[in-house]
Amino acid sequence: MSEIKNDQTTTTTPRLKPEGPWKIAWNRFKKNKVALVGGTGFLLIVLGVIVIPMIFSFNLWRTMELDAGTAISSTVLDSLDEKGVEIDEEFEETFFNRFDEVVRQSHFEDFIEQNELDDLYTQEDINQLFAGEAVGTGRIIRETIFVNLRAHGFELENSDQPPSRENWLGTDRQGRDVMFRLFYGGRISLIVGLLSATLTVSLGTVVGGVSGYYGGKLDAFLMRFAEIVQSIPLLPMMISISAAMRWVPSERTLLVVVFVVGILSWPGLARVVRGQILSLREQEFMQATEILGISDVSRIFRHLLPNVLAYIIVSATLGMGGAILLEAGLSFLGLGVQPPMPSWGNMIYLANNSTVFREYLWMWIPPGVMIMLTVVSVNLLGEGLRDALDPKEIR
Amino acid sequence: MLKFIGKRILQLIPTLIAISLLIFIVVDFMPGDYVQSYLGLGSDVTPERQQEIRELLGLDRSMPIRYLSWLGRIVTGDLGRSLVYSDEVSNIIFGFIWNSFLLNFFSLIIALCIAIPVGIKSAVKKYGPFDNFFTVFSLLGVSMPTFFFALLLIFVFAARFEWLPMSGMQTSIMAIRGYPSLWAQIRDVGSHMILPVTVLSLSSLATLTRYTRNSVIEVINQDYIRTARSKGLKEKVVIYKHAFRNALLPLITILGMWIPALFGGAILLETVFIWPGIGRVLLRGIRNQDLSLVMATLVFYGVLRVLGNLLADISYGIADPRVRVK
Repeated sequence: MSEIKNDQTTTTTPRLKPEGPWKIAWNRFKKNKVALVGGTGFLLIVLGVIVIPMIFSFNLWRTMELDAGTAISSTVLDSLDEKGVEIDEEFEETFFNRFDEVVRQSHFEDFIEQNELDDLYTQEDINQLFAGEAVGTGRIIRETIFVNLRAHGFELENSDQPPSRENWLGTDRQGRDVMFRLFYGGRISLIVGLLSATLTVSLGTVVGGVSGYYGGKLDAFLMRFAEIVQSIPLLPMMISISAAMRWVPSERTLLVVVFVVGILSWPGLARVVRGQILSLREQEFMQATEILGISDVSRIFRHLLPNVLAYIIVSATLGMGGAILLEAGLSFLGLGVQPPMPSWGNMIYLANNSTVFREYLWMWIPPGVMIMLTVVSVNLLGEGLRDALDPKEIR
Repeated sequence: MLKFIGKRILQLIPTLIAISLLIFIVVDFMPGDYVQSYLGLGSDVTPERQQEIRELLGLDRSMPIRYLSWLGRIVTGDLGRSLVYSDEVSNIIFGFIWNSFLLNFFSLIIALCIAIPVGIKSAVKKYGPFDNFFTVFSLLGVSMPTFFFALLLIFVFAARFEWLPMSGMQTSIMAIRGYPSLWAQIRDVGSHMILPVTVLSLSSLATLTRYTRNSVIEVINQDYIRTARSKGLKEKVVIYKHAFRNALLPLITILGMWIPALFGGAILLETVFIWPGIGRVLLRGIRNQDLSLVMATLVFYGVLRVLGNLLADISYGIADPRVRVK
């Protein structure tokens, strides 16, 4: 259609070049200062999230796969094993739990001094274990632990440090750089947002498109279904589904969040798409496609959907903001993305500890601010796109 | 009218059944074994005996049968027994509902009292400084994670300056010793409510202001408003009597859906403020694998949501006769 238009205009009035709908939208978007601010802000955040973690030492990257507790427990258990100490399951479990607890609170000195290891294993056993060394058992264990932790990228002696020249945003409970985690966590949060929005939009578009295009009983059924999904209490159900999916390994918990957000938030878009397609279906150009004998697939995807694309894009953008907020909420409750993988939500989770909340502000305020900045810019972008892509607006 | 209401209520039944099925399936997939968590850790009951208990409770039967029997019990009002609270689930839910209700009720009232006048004023002077200010305000309000905002407020007002209590609903010493007077109790609970109510009402305010504004703007552009103006009516009468009344329609629908959303969203705030509400009951149930408690709480949220929708539909039907005919 645009080709024909082009031909006509170039022959009759060469001055007037018709603009395609995308060009018009882009021009309008450029004029919209608010949208530009949002778009630029969002781009900057995306860039930061991609580039900034790369600046940090490779060592830190390993801390994304392991907790300090897990790292220690496994290495210490390994070294016990090497020394030929028999490790039964019960011992392993207590050992793991205790160490994890100790590392989280970074009370190494207390831990060793109080010789809490006595409860786990007799002093004799431990002495035997490290026999031949002049220094006390505690120190050996301690050093083994620190060496092993450093190999895993943790600097526990450097934990809970306020912002300084080396660590611009300080360090966290396990001695990791907060700025690194903030931007690496940003990757996770943004990916969750992006994937959730994609899932929501795909489901919404397909259901709405099929419903509007085919109509009849299928339409009635699908819309009834959408209504039911809409009557599900959102947050309580998300919390419960996440809890029911605890068996997912921690590095994949972000997919759980995506799934939970995606399957519950599509009905809104589905209804809009359906309504649009319902009215478009009756228009002349669709009758033309029918006469021309164009296939269903092509009619839906080439002729109908481009007309509702504006709604889809806007809803994807706004949906992404919503998904980022939901991820933050779920992770804050401990039911979203699981540590050691950082996300903005599970970084704020640290504020549940009263010492962190009162004294280590650098651990929980930056992620909150980042969430806000991201969601504000995404929302501004969405509003701007809505204005720019609205075909009904006066040009 | 009655026919309309009756039809809507009948339509609820499949929705409620679908939601209850979903709740049952989700909870069934939750980790944890009912019998084991009932007996507690380290109990010396043999696996054979456990199996017997399971059979006794009907837990070994197939899922559809368990679902049907659970549904039957729920409908007759038997919500089961909670392991964590060691009490009837219905008692617990009714005990905690009021705390949540208190929070949500005040927040909603405050939010509405501000949102409606602000929304109208923004709509009348569209794109004026007042409107622009509130546009930015609601944008920030919608984009701020409520729990983070709550943490910030607690930090400033409770941790730093100690003007307000940090969390909870009552000062524990006072609650244990008993309040000297009703007035003292109201004051104590009130001071605990200030922060959570502020956060909740601000977050509702952001959305409700936008809705009011947009729906008033839509009405103001209608022909009958022009007619009213050209009749020489005072601007106040035009706006409040003619425009606002009609703008109220979409607002009613929003409210029907907003109340359940408010309860749901309050889960995060109840966690932050350690407010003894229904959201904390749900979370506690999940953490302790108290499945009957989790199911009952979810049913409560589901019913609330469905009733909210029904209320919206019915009040819309009362306010706008055209809806009834459809």
